[in-house]
Amino acid sequence: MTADSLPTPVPAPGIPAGVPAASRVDMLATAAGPPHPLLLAPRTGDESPEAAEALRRWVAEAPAGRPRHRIELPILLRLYNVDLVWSPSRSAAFASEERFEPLREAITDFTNLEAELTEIEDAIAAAWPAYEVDLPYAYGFNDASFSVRDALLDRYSTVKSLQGRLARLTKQITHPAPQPPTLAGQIGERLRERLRIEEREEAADGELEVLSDHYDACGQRASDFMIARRENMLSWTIIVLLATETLLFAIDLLSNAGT
Amino acid sequence: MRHLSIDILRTAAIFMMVLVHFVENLSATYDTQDSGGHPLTPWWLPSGLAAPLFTLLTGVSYAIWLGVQQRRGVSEDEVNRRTVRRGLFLIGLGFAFNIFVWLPEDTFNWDVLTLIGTAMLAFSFVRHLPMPVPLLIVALLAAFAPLLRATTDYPAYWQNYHFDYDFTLSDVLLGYLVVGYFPVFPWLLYPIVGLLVGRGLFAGVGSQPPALTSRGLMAASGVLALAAVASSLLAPLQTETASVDWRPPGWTMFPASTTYILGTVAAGMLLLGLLHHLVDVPDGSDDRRAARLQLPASVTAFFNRTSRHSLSIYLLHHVAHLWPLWIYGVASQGEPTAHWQAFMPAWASAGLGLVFLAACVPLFAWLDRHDLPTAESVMRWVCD
Repeated sequence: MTADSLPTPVPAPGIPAGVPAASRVDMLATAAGPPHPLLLAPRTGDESPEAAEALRRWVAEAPAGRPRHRIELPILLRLYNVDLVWSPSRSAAFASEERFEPLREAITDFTNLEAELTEIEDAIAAAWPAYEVDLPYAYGFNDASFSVRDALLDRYSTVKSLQGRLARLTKQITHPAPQPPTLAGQIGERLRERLRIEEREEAADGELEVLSDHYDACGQRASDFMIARRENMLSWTIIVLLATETLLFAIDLLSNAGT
Repeated sequence: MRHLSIDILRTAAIFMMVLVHFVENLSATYDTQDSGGHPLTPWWLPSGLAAPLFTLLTGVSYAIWLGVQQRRGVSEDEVNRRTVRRGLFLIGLGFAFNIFVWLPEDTFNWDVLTLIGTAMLAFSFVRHLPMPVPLLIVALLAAFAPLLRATTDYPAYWQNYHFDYDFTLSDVLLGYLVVGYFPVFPWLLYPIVGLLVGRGLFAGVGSQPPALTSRGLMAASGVLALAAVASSLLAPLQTETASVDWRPPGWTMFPASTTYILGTVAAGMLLLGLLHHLVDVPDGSDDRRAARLQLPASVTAFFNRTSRHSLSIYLLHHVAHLWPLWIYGVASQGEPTAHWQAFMPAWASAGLGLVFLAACVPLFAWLDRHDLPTAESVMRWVCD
């Protein structure tokens, strides 16, 4: 996201006590979900430890949607004279005013990335119970399985869609940091490390591979079954027509024999 | 779980059959012996529904029985074996019935029991076919029946409304396939239609809703009824046996005309759909009170018992009115069939039929109470 496309800062009420009065809260737009509040406090040089604690408490007030793999939240970072407190639902920073813009850029990018990864992880976790139930369909398909065909198709589509989303995310995760290093790049890199984004991406990729292999096999079985069914129907149609023809011939013969 | 709709319809079918057979065997020509005409009038028309309904319900009941076997985990091989055994049992019973009730010269008249037996044998493979194929078989049975009757010279086998054949292989086989009372062409279509309807209406798999609703079935019956009307209007173009004037144009049971087939299938489906909607417990409910129309428990029990013993009633009512007639014929004129169809006025034979039906109620209640064998229990003992 470029600085031009960033939303106009909107001062928000509710700046915590102990933080400089010139602070402001920007509502950062996220790709999906509610805006992410970012409290930007200008550095004056004589910040008390209480002011930093006030920022941490303010961030911790808004709990994350769910825990992040036993990683303690919020994350505290100190980098290039910037004190950053980050959580998935809220962030705050002490920084000199000229660093506000790169900070906004870094927090927006990382929050979106982390939210997308978390959403994929949640979707994968939700897919496992169905995977267990669907195991027999990867081995064989029959008339009784016919009723679950649409459900299998839905799960197949979900898994493939998740794989696509993760692949696009991988590109962002593994994208090399800009050289020479920038504040936004460094913050993003440090946050990715602290939130173990790469390991989580690898784990999600592994899980999706298993799910994908399974639903590929289900799809193959279902497809084979449908083709066989169609062929079966055609064969029976031909058999019935031939049997009818034979019967007509026999009846004609019997009729002539009778006369 | 029993379905009251099927019990009611089967009771209606067996009631109509009893009345038809009493009247037609004891009185059909009694009132018109001088003119040689047919004594029946339009009020007799619904009686033509008895055999189609009975055979249609055979297929419906088989679909339900099949669902029960599958839910109990009975293997496919075992289901096939039971089906074939039931088919052979019914064919054997049909021949025994013909010999002992209709006398040996009518052994191969191809009555309804041999048709139902044949249907059972057909079910053992029709049930495995994908849906469009049985529909194709039904269409072929209906479409080729008139052509085959023309090919085989159907009227030559029928004298005075009765199937009259020689003991030759060709006559016997043609009787079975085309020209008998209930030949494969087209009568086998009724049980197959019943199987398809039963599968759609009653045999929903697990939590899946049934593929066919009662409203859908009634709508399909409406389409068939329209087709029957169209076929009736086109009847003058047909070259088959003309129907007598008290019936709709083109409506003949022997042979089963296209109008008759369409009309009776439509009526059967309409009645089944209507009763299923009204008196059956909706799917997923085990509570009998959930049915839209509540019938008293005694009435439900009556339909249930009559339906369960319909095969026994079918056999017994023939014995009850034909054996005395044959014995009296031998005693009075030395010929068993001397008084056949000319023994008493129609009102008297209809009254006797009603008396027989009334007597069945306590008789079968007594048989059930004492757990005595009936045709159905013997069939289950032999075949299952």
